[in-house]
Amino acid sequence: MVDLKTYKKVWHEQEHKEQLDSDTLSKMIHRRSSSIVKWIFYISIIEFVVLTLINVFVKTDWEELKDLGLYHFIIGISILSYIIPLIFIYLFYKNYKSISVIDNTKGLIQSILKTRRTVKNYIFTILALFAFAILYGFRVALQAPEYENIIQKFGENGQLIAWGIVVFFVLIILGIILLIYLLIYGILLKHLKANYKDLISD
Amino acid sequence: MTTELEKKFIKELEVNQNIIHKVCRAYTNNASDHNDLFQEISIQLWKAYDKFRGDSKFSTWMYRVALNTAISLYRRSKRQVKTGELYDNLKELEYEAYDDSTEQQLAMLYKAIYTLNDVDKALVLLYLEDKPYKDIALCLGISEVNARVKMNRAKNKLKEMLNP
Repeated sequence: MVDLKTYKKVWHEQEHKEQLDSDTLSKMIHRRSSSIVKWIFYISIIEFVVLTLINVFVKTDWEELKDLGLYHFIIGISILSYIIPLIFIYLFYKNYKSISVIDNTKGLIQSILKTRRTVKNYIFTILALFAFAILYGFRVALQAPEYENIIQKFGENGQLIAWGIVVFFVLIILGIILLIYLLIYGILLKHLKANYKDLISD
Repeated sequence: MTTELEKKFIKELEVNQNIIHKVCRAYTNNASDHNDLFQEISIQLWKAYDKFRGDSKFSTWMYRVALNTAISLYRRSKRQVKTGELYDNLKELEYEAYDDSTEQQLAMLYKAIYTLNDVDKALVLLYLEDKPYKDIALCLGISEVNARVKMNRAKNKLKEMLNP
């Protein structure tokens, strides 16, 4: 039975065969980092930009909303959809800046996961807002006379069927976004989460 | 233009590069990944160098950054061989002819270390470097008691690998 102590001597005496010279090292330190934190940063920025662009470019028919009595509701939702990203971008930046490679390993992983969680919370907040706006808007729209005729075409259970269709589509959209989201971050953070679990286990 | 700080850093990096090579050899199993991780650790060291206050030895500080990069920041490539396949190779390795018995021992040791999980790898590396438990606990952010418990388990796993 070989004891680990017997390996210490060879461990201390080892010298890597390919020693790099100062020129090579000098060039190396200026190359671009491909760390997981960089990836998280870029992906998060894309998420913020895409959601904000969708928010800005989705056309709103204000006249129709006024007729439906949804004008103030949509104004409120719009203001929220500008304030929420600002709050989350601030929190994300604050958490991102707190990631430090000279922290201890547990602290470093916690900071990375916390930063990532900020973006996750942002996405979920926006999706919840989206689902609420659609469902509330639909509830009000159902009471408008111009939509009543359409509902009546579904027969006796017209309202129920219409609700069923809307809820179904909202769930499908949320489900697809959630699936893509879990897939991307499942792959990206799987290893980090496993290491964190190993680290905090007794 | 190379600053004085950069020159000083490169000199320290050059002298202590064996530390990074050790970490790379423990966390990767092919030359390309070894080089990728070496580069990432060097970049992270340089980015953090202005925060190095000299209250610990450069080599100790370097170990912390190198292990943190390997455990938390490095994105693994698909080239890495799975642990199961590696264990089979490890058994075969005993019978391979080596001219240099020291290199043979080292190769055996590294292959055994590679089969451990990332945290156990860090524990074993710090143990082989003769770091006290207090420093190991500080480096990983766990309690000293927990470091001892984990270390015993990691050492037992390693012994099993080295004495199949």
